[in-house]
Amino acid sequence: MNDVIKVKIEKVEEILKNSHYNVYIPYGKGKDGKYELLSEKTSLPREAGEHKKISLPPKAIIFRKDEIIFKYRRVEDGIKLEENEFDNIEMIIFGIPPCDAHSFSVLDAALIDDYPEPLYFEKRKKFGIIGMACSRDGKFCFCTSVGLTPHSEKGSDIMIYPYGEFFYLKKVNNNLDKLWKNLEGFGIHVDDVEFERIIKKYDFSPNNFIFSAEDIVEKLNESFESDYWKRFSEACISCGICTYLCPTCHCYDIVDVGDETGGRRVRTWDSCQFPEFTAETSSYNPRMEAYKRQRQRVLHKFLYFYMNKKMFMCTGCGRCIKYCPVSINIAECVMRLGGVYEE
Amino acid sequence: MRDYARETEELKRVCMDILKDVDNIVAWIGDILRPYPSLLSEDNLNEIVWSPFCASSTVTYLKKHKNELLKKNIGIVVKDCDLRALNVMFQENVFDREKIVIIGMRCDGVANHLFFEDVMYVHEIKSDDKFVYVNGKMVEWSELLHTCCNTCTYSYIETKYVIGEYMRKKNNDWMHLSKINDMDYDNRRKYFIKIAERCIRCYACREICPVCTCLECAVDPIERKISPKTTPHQKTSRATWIFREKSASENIFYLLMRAIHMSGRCVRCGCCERVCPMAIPLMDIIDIVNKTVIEKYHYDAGRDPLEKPFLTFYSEKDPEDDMEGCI
Amino acid sequence: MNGMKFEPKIVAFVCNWCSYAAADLAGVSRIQYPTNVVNVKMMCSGRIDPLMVIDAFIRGADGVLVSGCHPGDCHYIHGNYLARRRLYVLKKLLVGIGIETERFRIEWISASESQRYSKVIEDMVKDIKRLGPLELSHGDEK
Repeated sequence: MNDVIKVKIEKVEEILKNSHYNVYIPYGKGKDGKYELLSEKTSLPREAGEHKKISLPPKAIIFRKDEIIFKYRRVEDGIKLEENEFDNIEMIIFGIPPCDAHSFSVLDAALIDDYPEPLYFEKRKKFGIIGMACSRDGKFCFCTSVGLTPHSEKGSDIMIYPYGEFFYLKKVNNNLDKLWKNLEGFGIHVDDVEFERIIKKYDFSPNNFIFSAEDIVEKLNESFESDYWKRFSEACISCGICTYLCPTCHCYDIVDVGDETGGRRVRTWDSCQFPEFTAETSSYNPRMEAYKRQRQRVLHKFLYFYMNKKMFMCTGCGRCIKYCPVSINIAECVMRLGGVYEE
Repeated sequence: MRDYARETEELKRVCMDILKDVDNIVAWIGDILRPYPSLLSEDNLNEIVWSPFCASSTVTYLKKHKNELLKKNIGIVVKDCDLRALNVMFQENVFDREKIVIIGMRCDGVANHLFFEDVMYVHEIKSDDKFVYVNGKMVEWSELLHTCCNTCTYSYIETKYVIGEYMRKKNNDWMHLSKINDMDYDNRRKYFIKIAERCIRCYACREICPVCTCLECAVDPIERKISPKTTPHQKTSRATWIFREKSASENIFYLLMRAIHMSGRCVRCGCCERVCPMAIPLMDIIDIVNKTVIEKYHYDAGRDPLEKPFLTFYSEKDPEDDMEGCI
Repeated sequence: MNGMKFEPKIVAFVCNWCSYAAADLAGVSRIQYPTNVVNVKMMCSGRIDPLMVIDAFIRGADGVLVSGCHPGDCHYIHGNYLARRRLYVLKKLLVGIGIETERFRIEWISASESQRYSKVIEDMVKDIKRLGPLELSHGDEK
């Protein structure tokens, strides 16, 4: 029996607005967008898809570009340290497509599984994910090539399938149990037959960059010395756009900000595409050239992470391709090295 | 009517001509809606692309690969603003004039490729003074143009090799700065701090800029300039202006630094604002400097490769008034 | 904070040969002027990098004064001419982003003009007290 109910859209909006959660919704379009709080002035998105995705990935909400670790201040008799305090506010992100929802599973595998990164862990514990099935793909999307579909529930705690004036909600796990019980009170249970009919609306596949990431892992493993990397990266300007806009990239730097009177230690975003990412104290830099950095980015996402965690560090959202200033295309690269074009 | 397919063919012919003197040409290749700069030689000349979507500057490509490419003579395909950027590079002795063969493309403006997001395959692009026609679909220039192209005034490419014709009338009255002029100081500060908080310091604006050539940027950490001979004392006593944190204060420094370092060098190509992933209105800040340099000092960046760079000379009659808060 | 009146913090970049001598002379002559200013001695106003002015503002200065020899009298001949060009462009930029004209002053003060130096400081402190603290990056906490 599927745990699926249907609730009128306005009712879901009312329940969420009156709940104690801080509900984040993608607001605006493309590069102008941001994650806004649901309030009297804003309303829930009715659809998810390329037309509703914003350039900033949802990781920016709990894996912020700057996060204070501790603060210090010089006082009369020494230095006073203040650890960062976390509030108890529970958060929910609402209305992100499967490519963005699944990115949190990837981030958890990287930042929590082996040893929890304390700041991310604290926020992740209080973060619920309500994903929404994608109704429109874009010309840079390729989620189906990395094991997702426009209606995949991977990564979501509750999955929504909009249909007409209803949100069809599916309970994926127990994380948002209390909210689910609240919604159930206003919902009608949906049987398997009706649910199959609803899913058909979302049963399509993006038509670009079609490949199977699993099948080409072997070829990627042999591609390190290939000449292709130089050609692929020749236009690369080594900005940080592909890594900062990627929903699964999670590299960071820890810097001390301040002076002798006071300051703070901050965890801040870093990018493997900056030349100084691998600069060593001796002054040697193993990745001085752009093609070495791009090679590391592609292999990290499609080979090394898969070998360690059995999942790809790429959800096929297409942001890196869409917003790259020089149109570098990671899907094309992987297809070419994986021999997909020769078939 | 401009037919870009025809202009591309003409460009190929000119390139074949030039390839007698040079081995390589820097030009755009790739998808018609999203071309990118690359190196062309006789073997892959057929991949060359010319369309109103040729956004990223070829001068940026040349600057990034300067060391290998400028050992011999090289050709480069440039639009109006790229030619000015090239002139700035000549003025500052970054490139050697003798080594570069220039093919000028008369540009009516660069169109936003995201407008045609739903178009999978382009087989025809044309334009006239008012519209761009992609696969027959007609769109007004004013809907597609970026801030800098909308306020461009450059229509004077007269290089030895030149292709295309200007159709769109170009004019700049700095109206896009009037919204800042109309704000009082408090609102200007709020506007600017909101911009600074949004920035994620990806440095795309700096890397894509055709005139940003410093080997060691003022805001990069010192790692770029150390060698095995650098002593520990030298490493620790090198000051850095800002921290790596992406907070408002550090971002304000970065944005103002870019603007002030562009005085008399910015060619208003608009690449920085176009590539910004957070849609930060960078030209609102940099144009404050551009307007001052053009209107008060009567200096036009990159018009003449033999001219001196703006900040290296002075006049005894340099203005000292500040028009009380107007920009 | 309620009982305390706002005391502006002013950074003055002064050239060694003219303006610093003027400040020195003001001190020796026991001229009274507000203590809100920190003098930073540069050898020439031409040494002043616009980034220094920006740095001063983002690290908490409420006002910045740049002072050098009179144009034509620079100890190094051209320094102040070059400074004049880049600093007035910088001033326009700062005005555009919301830093009032009274906060960033460019003056030419010769070695004997100690009275003028103290008057400039007095006027700046008065103007900036009226304008209030700058708080350019109030989004941060230190």
